[in-house]
Amino acid sequence: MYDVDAAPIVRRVREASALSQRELADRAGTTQAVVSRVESGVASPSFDMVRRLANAAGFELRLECVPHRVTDPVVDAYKPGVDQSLLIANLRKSPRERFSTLLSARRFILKVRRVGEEARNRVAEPTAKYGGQDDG
Amino acid sequence: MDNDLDNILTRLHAAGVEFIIVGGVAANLHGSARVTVDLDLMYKRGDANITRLVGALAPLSPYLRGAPLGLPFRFDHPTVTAGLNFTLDTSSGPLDLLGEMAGVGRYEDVVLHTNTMDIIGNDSLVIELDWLIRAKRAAGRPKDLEVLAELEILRGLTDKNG
Repeated sequence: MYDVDAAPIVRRVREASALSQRELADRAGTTQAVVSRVESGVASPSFDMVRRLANAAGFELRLECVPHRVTDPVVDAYKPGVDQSLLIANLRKSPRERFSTLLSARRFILKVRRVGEEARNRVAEPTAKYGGQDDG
Repeated sequence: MDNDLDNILTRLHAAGVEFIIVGGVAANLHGSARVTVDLDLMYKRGDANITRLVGALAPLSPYLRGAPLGLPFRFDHPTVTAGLNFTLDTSSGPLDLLGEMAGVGRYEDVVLHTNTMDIIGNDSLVIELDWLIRAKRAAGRPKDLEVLAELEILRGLTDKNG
């Protein structure tokens, strides 16, 4: 048994191939009534039948295993803190615009880091010199 | 503009390197509002691609990030072949090169689950949002929990908008 609604699959491939139900049935070696019953959801066809109909319409039928969408209460606990307005605004942008925004923000962060590092080095320098005098 | 992520990507495209954008930049391209500094790329293993990868990136003086200066590290074909994942600093910024990622596998596995995005005038492969979530979950780092929350919300928003 498989839990798949074959009706929209068969209808979609048939319409994409511009075939009538009878033409698809002829190609698949079945009857128009069978195709009609499958498309209307009255019949639950076998997997092989769905594959035959898909092939007859010029399609490959593929099965794919995808991971369950796991829910994690710890991750869920973070969700109220996420500002969705920023995400919605981002989704309105093209990937190129998103990348451009990222580059600008990244440049700023790296600049701040560099300035911080230079400041730390300036503070550290006199200590190093002082230590050197002690050694001498 | 030669000190930026786009410089790395441009070089890789020009050399014909097979790679996939993963990690924080991929999250950003899917709509994340977080700013990431390093670029995570999954590269295809194999002699030809490693040759192209090394040729494209060697001019950016890749060095092991956080390692003391002066180590006998050379970013060359034997080094990349002998290793797998590299955490690097380059003259164009931090770069993680990944031959494999927990939860999603290698290039050949991930390439089947990518989106093509034009971000710098070239079509770049970007790991699909579902697979990015899978990788983040497998990584299991505490810092990823908040990122995961954002990515799952993004998935909900994109599902809703078709």
